Amino acid sequence: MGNIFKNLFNKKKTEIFFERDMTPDKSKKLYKDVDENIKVFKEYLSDCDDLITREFLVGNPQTPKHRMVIFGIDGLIDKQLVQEEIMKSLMLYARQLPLEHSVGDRFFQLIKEGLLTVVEVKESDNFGEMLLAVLSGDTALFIDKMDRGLILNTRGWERRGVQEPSSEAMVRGPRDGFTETYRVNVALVRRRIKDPNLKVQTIRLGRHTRTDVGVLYIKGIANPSIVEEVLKRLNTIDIDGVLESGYIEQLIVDNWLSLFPQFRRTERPDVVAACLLEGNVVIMCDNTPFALIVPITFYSLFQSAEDYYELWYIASLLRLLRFVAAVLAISAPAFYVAMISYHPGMLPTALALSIAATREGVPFSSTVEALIMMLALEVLREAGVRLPGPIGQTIGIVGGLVVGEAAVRAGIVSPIMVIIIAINAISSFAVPNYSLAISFRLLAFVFLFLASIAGLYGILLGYLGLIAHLVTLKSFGVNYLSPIVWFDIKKMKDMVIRAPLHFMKERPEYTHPVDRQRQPDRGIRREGSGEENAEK
Amino acid sequence: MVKKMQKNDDIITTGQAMALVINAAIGIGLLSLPREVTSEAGPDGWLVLLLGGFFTLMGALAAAAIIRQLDGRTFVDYVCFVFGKPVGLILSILYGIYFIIVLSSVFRTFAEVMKNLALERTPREFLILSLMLVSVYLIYHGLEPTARFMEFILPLWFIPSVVILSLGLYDSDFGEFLPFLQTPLEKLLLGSLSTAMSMAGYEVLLVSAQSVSRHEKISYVMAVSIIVVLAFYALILVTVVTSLGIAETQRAIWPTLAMITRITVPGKILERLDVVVVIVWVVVVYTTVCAYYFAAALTFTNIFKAREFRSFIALLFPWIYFLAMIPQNVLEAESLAKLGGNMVIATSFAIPLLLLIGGLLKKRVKKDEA
Repeated sequence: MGNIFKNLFNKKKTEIFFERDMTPDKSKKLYKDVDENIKVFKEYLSDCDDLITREFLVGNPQTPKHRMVIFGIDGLIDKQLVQEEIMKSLMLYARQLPLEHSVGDRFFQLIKEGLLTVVEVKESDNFGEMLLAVLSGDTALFIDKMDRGLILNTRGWERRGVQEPSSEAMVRGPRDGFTETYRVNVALVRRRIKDPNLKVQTIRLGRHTRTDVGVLYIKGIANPSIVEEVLKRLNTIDIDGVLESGYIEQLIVDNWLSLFPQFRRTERPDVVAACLLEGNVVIMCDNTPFALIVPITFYSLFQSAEDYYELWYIASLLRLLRFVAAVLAISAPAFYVAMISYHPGMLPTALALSIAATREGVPFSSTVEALIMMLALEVLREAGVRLPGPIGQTIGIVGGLVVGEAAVRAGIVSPIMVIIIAINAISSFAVPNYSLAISFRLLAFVFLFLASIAGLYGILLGYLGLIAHLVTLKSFGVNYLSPIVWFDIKKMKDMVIRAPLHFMKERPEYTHPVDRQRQPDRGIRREGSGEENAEK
Repeated sequence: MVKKMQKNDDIITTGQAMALVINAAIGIGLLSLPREVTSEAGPDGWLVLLLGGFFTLMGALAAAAIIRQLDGRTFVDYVCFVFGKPVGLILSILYGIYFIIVLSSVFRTFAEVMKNLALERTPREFLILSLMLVSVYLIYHGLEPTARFMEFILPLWFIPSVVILSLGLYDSDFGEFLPFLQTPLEKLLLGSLSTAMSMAGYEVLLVSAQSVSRHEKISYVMAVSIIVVLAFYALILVTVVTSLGIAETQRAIWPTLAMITRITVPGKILERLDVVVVIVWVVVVYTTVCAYYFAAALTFTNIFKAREFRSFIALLFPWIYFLAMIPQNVLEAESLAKLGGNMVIATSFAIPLLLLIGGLLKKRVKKDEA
C-alpha cells in the first residue's frame, strides 16, 4: 500500500516533466563545423516533417564556395520573403562582391550588414535561441566554419485579419478588434498611443507552448508597483502550456474562490488604450484576441467603451440601467418566488389576486416552476451558442417561443413565470462584461435557493453576503469595491454615472497613477468663445 | 510592494469610522425607541430623546478624548494602565460581556420581529444562526473590510428609510406633542438614560480605536455620528407619535412597525411598504451585529493578548447563540435588551468618564514625577 503511494507521489514524475522540456538551454553552443550544426539541429527536430532545410553555396565561381544552410518551419515562414530577401541576396547578389577566401568575422559582418535584406536580423551563438526562433517562424542561417548563426525574422503565417470584435459589438466606436497574433494586437494599441512611454515587456510562458505574453503600460502613468506585481506574478507561472489568456487569469488571480472576474478582458484595442491611459496594466497573450486589464474595480465591469463616445446623459442612464439589470439578473426569479410563496400579503391585493389566478392549475410549487424554466433557458442558451448562426436562431425561436407558449398552454408553468424568467435572461445579457454575466447566471440559482428556504430574508442574506464578499475582494491589491465615496461627489464621476468629459480632469484613484492629471485644471471650457472669434 | 500603496488592512479612515458608529448605533432601538421615550414622558418624549442625545454626545466626546490618549495602546491596555491590572481586566471583561449581551438581545429581537413581520413559520434558530453566520463571514476578514462594508451600505438603507419616514409625515397630527413640558425634570433625566441603549454604539470605536487612522479628528467623527443618529431617531419619534398618537405608541411593542404598516404612499405608487421595511430592518440589524460582534471578539483578543482575533469569533459564537435563545418569549427578550440597556450606562458613560479623569490624573502625576 505504502509503495503505491510512494509511486504515486514519486519525485521522478516531476523529473520526467523536466526532461520532456526538450528545448535546449542557451548553454548549448554552436559548433564551427556546419555539418555538426546541421546534425544537432536536425536531431532536435527529428521527426518534424514541417522542417525545411536548404543547403546552398555562396560565392562567385572563382572563389571557393562557402557552405550555408537555412532552417525554417513550413507554414510559419513567409516563403516569398525567404526567397527574395535571403536566398536571392546570398546566391545571386553575393557573386558581385569580392568575398574573402577565409570565413571570419569580416565575412560574417558583410553577410549580416551588407547582404541580407531582411528587416530584423539577430546574431546567436547557441542552439536554444536558434531553435526557439525557428519554431516561432524565424529562419535560422548557419554558415560553415562559423560558431555563430543568424536569426532572420521571416514570420508570416496564415492569420485572421483585423475584424470587428464579436463579443463586444457597439454602434459608435472603432470597428477593429484584436486578432490571434500578438504583434498585430500590440500594433493596434501602438497605433492609438504614439508615445515612447508606452512600454511592452514580453516574456514567454509555457514550457511547451512558449507563448508570448506581453505586459503593456504607460510609464509615468501606471503605478510601478502594480507593473512590478504583474511581472512578478507572471514569472511565477510554470505550466506546460498557455493557450489563452484565461490560463493566465486563473493562475495569477487574487482570489481563485471568487465568482467574480478580477480581470477585465476585452478584445477592443480602444478599450485597452483607454485603460492604459487611466493607469491600468494590460496583459496580452499570443494566440488569443482577449487582453486582460488589471487592476479593476467592480464598477469598471459595468463600463462600455461606448459610454465615453456618446453623450454623458445617455451614458449615465445606460450605466444606471446596467446596475438595475444586474440586480434583476441575480434576483428576479428569487424575488418572485419569495413573494409568491412567503409573502403574498406584501403584494398589492389586485396583483396578488391576478398572479394567483394565473397560477391556478400549475402542478408545481413556484420554486420548482422557476427551476424548470431557468434550467430550460440555460440549456437553450448553451445550445444556441454551440450551433452555427442561423440554426442557433432557430433554436432560440423554437425553444423560446414555441415551447414556452406550449408549456403555458399545457399548464405546466404560469405565464407570469415566463415573463419573470425572460426578464431575468434579458437582464443578464445587458451586463456588458460576459464573465460577470455568467457569474450572475450562477448566482441567480443560488438566490433562488435562498428565496425558497427563507423568502425575502434569504435574498437579503444573499445580498449581504455578496456585498461582504465584494468588500473583501481585491484585484492586484486594489479594493474591488473602491472607491466607496458616497459623500465625495468628486470621486464619483466615473462610477454609476459618467460625468461630462471636461469634468473628468483626473485619472481614477484606484489605479494609483503616478500622474493624476489628464486635463489641465482650467475650469470648464468657456462657452461662446468660438463665436466671438468668428465675429472677429 | 502593492501593500505599500494601498491602505493597511487594519487602519480605517475617518469616514469609515463615522459609518461604523452610525451603523452600530442604529439597530433594534429603531423599533422600540418611540415606546420607551413616550412611556417615560408622554408628549415630552422628544425632550427625553434630546437629553439622551446630549448625554450620549458627552459620553462620545469623553470616549474620543480617551482615544486620543491611547498612543497606539489598545483600549484594554489603557484601562489596565489607569486602574491597575486587576480592576482594568475586570472592567475589560465587563465590556466584553456587555457586547455579548447586546449582541444576543439584538439577535433575539431580530428573530422575533422577523417572525412577526414576514416569516411566521420559520424557526428562530434558523433566523439567528443564518444571520450570525453571514456576519461572521464579514468580520472574519478584519476591521477594515467591515468598516468599508459599513461605508458602502450606510446610504443604501439610510436614504430609503428617511424617505419612508418622511412619507409618514404626509398626514400627521402635531397636536400629539401637546401638552408641552408637563413632565418633572427627574423623570426626564431618568428617561433619557433609557434612550442611551438605542444611541450607544461608539464603544465599538472605543475598543477598536487602535485602528483608526487620524486620532485628531476623532471628536469630529463622534460628534457628527451622534448627531446623525439623534436626527434619525428624532425623525422616527416625530413620525410615529404624530401618526399613531401617544396612547398607541405607548402600548405597541414595536410602534415604528405599527406606524409603517399604515403609511399610504401619496399617489398610490406603492401600496405596501412592507418589503422596504423588511429590507431596511435586516440590513440595520446586520450592520449592528457585525460591529458589536467584531468589538466583542477584539475585546477578548486584547484581554488575552492573543494575536489572532479570528479564533475568538468562533469561541464567542456558541455563547452569543445560546444567550439569544434563553428568553422564552418577546417580553423576556425585552428584559434581556433592558439588561444591556442598563450596562450601557456603565460602559458608555460611567467608565469612559472615570477613565478620562483617571487617565488625565495619572498623566499629571507622571509629569510631576518627571
